[in-house]
Amino acid sequence: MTELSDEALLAGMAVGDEQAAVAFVRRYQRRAFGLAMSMLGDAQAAEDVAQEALLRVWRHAPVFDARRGSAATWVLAITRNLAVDALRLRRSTPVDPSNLALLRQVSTDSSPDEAVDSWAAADLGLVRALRELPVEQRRALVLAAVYGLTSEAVSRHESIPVGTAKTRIRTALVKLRRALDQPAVEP
Amino acid sequence: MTPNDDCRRVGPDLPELALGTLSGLERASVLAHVEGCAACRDEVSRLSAVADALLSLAPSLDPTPGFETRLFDRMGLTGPRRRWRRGAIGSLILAGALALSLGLGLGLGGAPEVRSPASAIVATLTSGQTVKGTVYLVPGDPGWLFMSVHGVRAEGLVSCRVRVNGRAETVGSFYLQAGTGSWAYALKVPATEVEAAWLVDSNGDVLAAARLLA
Repeated sequence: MTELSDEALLAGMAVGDEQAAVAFVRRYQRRAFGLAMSMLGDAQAAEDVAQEALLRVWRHAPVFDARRGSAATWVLAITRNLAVDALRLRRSTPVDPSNLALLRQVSTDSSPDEAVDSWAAADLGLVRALRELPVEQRRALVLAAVYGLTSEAVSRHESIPVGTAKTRIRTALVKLRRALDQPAVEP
Repeated sequence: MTPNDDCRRVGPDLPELALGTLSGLERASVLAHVEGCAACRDEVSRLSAVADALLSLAPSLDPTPGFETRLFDRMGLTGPRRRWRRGAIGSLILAGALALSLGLGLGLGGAPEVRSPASAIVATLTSGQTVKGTVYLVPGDPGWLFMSVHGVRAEGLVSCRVRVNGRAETVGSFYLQAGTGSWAYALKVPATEVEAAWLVDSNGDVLAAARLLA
């Protein structure tokens, strides 16, 4: 069977092709659920978020614009935003650093090859760059980028001044961007 | 204040703008500058790409059992399983017995038996010897055509023409940006009857073409 691209499947969904929707869901359900689970740490809440995200993709497929980013980016951004909303609803239970599954996974104290299977080759450069960040910068960046915490919230979470939180987030993101801009060097 | 001073003023906030974590007032102030500054806009775009990439590092995990079934129900997909649900119990028993006698598995407790897309006809969209994109022709009810274009020397509105049973017609238009774009169309005829597709500019000149029948 011909493997249709993500964009082609979304186009099929946009014209109401149920089979395209099924194929797209089967392609992305593990990624959407995995991201939601990493952020929420609760299977039922993660299912609610992942289902709502894929439902929105189905409903909004006609407005997907491939020129503005990939389908994967779109699906994961929708999932992340819904998970952030879910986290905000449980404001009384702040994110416990030990539960930041995503942070744990990219931290230097986990085996470098432990999760490599789940990452595309293109992501490995990002993982390496993340691991080279000082741990406090990496935490601040992941809290903001993945968990949607503002610099004020990161400041409270990490018990540091707001200015320090801002600096950590900014420095980390700019370092990653520069690392990824570097041309690959042969070993 | 010169543009450079303004860039320096908002520069420290660009990462948080890219991450979407600035407060409303801060965001409005930074956006007021970024919208008119190509350099800062480019920086935000590159930082946003890194922020988006971070999400792709989350592990892929198997969802909870029944996830697909519940989701397809919410999506209102009408596969064989839904039709089976609406049927009478007697029909179910009969169908089960028939399936067993034929050595088939119904997978009653599993995911809906909604099929993945049927085999698509895929053709390269070319201009001379140069590849300019791909055309997918997917059979179904309705079947659909998807045209993905890149590297075409055209901007703005372009049209898709197809030839069906020897007759050419324009079936729709879409916009290219920097020579790139994509577009889908629900076919009014069986996919197997579409012989070719072209991309034409606003003057009717052919930009690229794909042959869909062998």
